[in-house]
Amino acid sequence: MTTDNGPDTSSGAALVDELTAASQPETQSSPRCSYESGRGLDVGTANLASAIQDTDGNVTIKIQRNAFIDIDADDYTRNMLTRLNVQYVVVNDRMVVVGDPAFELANIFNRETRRPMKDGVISPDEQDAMPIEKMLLSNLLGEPNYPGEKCYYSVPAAPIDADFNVVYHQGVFGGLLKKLGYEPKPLVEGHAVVFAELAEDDFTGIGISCGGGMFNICVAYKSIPALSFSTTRGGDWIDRNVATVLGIKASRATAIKERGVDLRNPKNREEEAVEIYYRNLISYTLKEIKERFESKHDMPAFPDPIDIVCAGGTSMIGGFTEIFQEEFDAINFPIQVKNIRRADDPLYSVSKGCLVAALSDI
Amino acid sequence: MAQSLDIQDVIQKSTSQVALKDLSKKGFRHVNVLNQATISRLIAEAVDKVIAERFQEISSVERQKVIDASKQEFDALAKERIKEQGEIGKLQAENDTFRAEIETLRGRVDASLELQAERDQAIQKSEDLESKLSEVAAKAAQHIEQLEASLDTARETCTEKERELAKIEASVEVRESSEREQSKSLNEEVASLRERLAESDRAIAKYEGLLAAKNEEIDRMGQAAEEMATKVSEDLEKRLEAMSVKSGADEQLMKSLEGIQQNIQNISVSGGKVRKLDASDAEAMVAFAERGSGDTAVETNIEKVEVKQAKAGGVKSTLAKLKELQKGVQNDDG
Repeated sequence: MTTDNGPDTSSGAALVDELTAASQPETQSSPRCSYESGRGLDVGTANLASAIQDTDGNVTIKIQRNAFIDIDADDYTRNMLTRLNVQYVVVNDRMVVVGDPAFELANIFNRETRRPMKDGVISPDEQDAMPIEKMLLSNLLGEPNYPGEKCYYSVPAAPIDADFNVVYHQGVFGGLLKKLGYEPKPLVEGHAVVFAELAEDDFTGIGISCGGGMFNICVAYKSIPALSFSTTRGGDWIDRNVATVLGIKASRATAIKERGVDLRNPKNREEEAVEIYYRNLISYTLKEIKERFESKHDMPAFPDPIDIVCAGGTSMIGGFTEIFQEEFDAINFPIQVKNIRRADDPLYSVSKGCLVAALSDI
Repeated sequence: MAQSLDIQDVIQKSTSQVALKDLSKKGFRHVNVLNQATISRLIAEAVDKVIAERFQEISSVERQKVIDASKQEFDALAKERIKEQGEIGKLQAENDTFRAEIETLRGRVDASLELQAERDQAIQKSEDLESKLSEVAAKAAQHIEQLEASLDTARETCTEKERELAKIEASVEVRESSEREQSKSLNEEVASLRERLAESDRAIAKYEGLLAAKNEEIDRMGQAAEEMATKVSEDLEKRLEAMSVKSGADEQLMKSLEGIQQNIQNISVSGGKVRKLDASDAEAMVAFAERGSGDTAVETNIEKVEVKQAKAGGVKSTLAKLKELQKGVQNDDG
């Protein structure tokens, strides 16, 4: 398959190539393990997830929270962290704990985690993030079966409610993957959701990736994206606002959100705050989608009602689909929709979609 | 010697005193008053008359006897009369006592009756009050129920209003937060843009330097190429002249050779130029370069710690459908 419909990263990746000193062998050697060629990688604000398929057709997902926290470095802490299976990196004489343990430590120490990405793209505030991000990717993907193995990685579509482009982000991750020995292929997140979740509908419908930094939307007809865009509100926006109104850290708000809240039945003030901001986020996203659809003249006229499928970690909360349906019913949506549903594996959907794209591009 | 008769004493002892009020109660409105002197005179006259009559018949002795006997008789009668009067007085006193008791009892009965009436009235009032109280209580209960229902409604309304208020507050908070966020985001964006602009300026300066160096190198190479092209061109020109003189080559061949010569000259002009970079490429490249490539060795245990893995649903059928769709599209295109 081709990626003509996705954002053009060839120039960014090429520039990274020029900066990458190590030359990559161009010839393909025989595979080193029993995995199919082609990898999928979800580069999310909240999580990084890789997907790979073995020769028996089993898909394995490796997932890592895209966050870190720095603590004082000493030998005892080093040993303890390794014994506790906690990943760390020493950067600028500071010990940086990465992944889920960083999140747990942040909650325990009442601090905020540091995030390599913000609003769906590389954060300009985190100067230490890039070496860590490279290590995380290396650990998630491992070595390629052969130099130049294709790796489809998710990138955000251009945002409609913010003025920034994703070229830099896309080029940097393309460069990192290239350094790891892969041939990087960008795929917009919403399109990845279409690949993963809309096979039964001939890859026709609306895929929405509800991520930590953004909501990515893709309208596709027979796997071809007719419209892709993103909004810059996601799970982190909820966390920040809940944290503000409750006077707590955003990491704590994330923990509240992820401990099993049902949006249809909030049980206390904290859960009510989560419910209010979730509803607002969904309403905001749907209105943005509606406005975008109404302003786009070359939208496809679907012959039959289509499905909307939501994926991503932010869609995993209890009652998400029902609240989405309620807010959807409250607006006059310009496209006939048959069904609104959530992906079976919301957290893995984007990486699986990238994997499908990679496997179909061999 | 015969005892003289004390008329006043006899009258006092043989009469009883009755109050005028009692006589009036008994219906006596007028009484005949007989004073003591008149009584004494009448007695004396009666005695004298009797004695005068007797004196004509009997002797003085006899008369004295009669007088004495009369006196005795009178005394006996008086005594008896006095005794009767005493008993009458006693009976009268008892009667008065009884009357007084009767009056007292009547008073008590009247009082009792009054009390009874008052009690009955009180009972009646009490019953009336109880009845009214029941009615009032029923009305009050009904009113309380209505009030409770109204209160429940008011509470529900209040709760709903509170929820609405909370939602409005949250909405306001969301809006304010959003505005703050947007403002912050804009400020950050401006700062970021300024920073990136500065980075871009630095990068431009850097690459202008590199470009100048490369251009110099290109110019050198171009000059060399130009010299070479000139040399080749001159050589070709000489050869062409020789060919035209010696062999009389045809016009077509001459044109091709002139074209080659032009190409060589063009190479000398444009051969060393590199592809221009657009701004976004430069930004990405510079930013990436300045952030470090991650090649430096760092201490970590990342590779020693197992990453969280999960088995996900297979994608074979999805892949097959996608390939089938792609194949169909290709066939349609073909």
